[in-house]
Amino acid sequence: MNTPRILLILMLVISPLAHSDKYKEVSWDDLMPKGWIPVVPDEPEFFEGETYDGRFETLPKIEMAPIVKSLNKQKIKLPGYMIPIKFNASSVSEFLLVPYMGACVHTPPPPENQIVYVSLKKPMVTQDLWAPVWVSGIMKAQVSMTKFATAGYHMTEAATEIYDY
Amino acid sequence: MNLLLLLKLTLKSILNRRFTSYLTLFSICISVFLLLGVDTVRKEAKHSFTNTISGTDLLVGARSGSVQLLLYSVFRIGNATNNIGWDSYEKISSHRSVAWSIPISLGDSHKGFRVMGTTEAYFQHYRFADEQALRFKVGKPFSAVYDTVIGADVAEKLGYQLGDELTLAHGVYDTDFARHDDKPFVLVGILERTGTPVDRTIHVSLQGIEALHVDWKTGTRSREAVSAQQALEQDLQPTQITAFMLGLNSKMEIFRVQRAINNYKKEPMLAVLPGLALGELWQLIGVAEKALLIIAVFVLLNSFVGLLTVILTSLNERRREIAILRSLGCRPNQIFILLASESLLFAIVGCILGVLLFLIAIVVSQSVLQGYGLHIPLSSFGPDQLKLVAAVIGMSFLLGSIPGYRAYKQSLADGMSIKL
Repeated sequence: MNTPRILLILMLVISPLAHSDKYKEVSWDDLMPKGWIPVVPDEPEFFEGETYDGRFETLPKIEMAPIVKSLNKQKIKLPGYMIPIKFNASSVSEFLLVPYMGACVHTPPPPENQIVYVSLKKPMVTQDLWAPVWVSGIMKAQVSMTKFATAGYHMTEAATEIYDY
Repeated sequence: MNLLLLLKLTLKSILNRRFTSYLTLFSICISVFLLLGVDTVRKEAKHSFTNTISGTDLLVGARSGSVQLLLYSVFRIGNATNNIGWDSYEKISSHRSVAWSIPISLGDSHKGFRVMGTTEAYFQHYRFADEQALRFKVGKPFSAVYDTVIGADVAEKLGYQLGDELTLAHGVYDTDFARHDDKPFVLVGILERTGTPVDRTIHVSLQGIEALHVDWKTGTRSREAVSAQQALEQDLQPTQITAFMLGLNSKMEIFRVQRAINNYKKEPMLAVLPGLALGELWQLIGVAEKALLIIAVFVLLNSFVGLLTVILTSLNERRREIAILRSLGCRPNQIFILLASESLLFAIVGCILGVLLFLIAIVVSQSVLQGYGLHIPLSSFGPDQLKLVAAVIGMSFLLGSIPGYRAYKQSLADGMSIKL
């Protein structure tokens, strides 16, 4: 076999592996660190015991649910429901992605590591708000609040598809 | 027989049956107007409503329902069920998760426009459409107790200038037996047009609302009137407000803060996310608007059936006319064009009249529409509406081929002599 043929066969074999533009499908459980046990939040303490004297600094910090740092800068695909945050009459450009919608009030809202703030690459025309969607994008797992970003999961350059079930 | 001659014949034929032609034209005109009207109103309604609020994370009011809260606090439609205490507002708005808050107080009006008590935070933080801030056309926000700032529609309709005095009325309807005549307000600012209910609102300070009601604590005007001057000397710290808007430091905390407000033990309150509440509103209205659209389409189909009936029934009387045309050298497929173009002509003229009627209706009903929070400019007749009209004309051509085909077959069968 001559060299060009070998090269051609090699290229044919390697090219599918080189096509790493796939988004990894993750589940909501993957967003919670293994071994972390969610805590029942103590809601009545949220406002009680606070008095009005300007911005309140000395209240003990409410622990934010921890995030999985290894997900940072990963291309992932996650299904969920949209809660529009930045929208106009025809489209939604930023929303919160949550695992469920319209849940009963028996349980508290999802902890911070079960919420993803999604920024769409192209604003999406709103059809049915209550339809679940697949969101694919680049995940940013921010551990703490900086001047430019709040802590938690953010997804940028995202695109949505309808979730068929 | 060239095309132009055929069309002239069509026209003459129609004019010969003038009365029925006018009636058919009228029915098409009305149904096109209806279709355009329904389609535009539902698009613009959704547009107007969704553009009213932007960038607000939570809307909070006394416990009622999310759609109701959205409607009365943002759209000034309907009424609040109850007020909320000032201390609840203070405790929540001073929490570290909150970046900004805007308290609002409703319940008074002026010549059909609602009065809203608020603070300077409103002019600073309120956003609408795509994160647009409020801008002043002239003047500045209120600073004194009796200052007022009005929206663009109020200024336009009532012709107010800076420095004018406004007398506010108690309640949503302004009649002269429930006015706060002893405490007139002075206009210090007019806002730029926003296309939202802000244009129809008269803004005053919370202290202004307190001053107005200093001698209304019994629910009616007190026997011992307190003058405007005297009211200024009293403690005008508000004790209750109707609702407030919150902007949080982190969007991730929205649910936590919302839940905490809903569970607040000291006062029953409701916190909603504006995006979700709007979605719910649209779910409610969605059914009605789809039904309206389907009805409009059926009305249009009905007119077409009417048009076809007219043409088809006339076909019998026109057999002699067609035989004469055949004898003059008109080919059967030209007969087809003759008949098919008739319905096309009706449709085109009907559409033009329908569009004209629609545009006139927009101009005439501006003030009525604005009373419902709808902002429908003439420019709302755009490419989408033209597509609708084009679809109507296209459909008419398809349907017109039915009498055309019948005439074609008849002319073949009849030849030059008619067998009646």
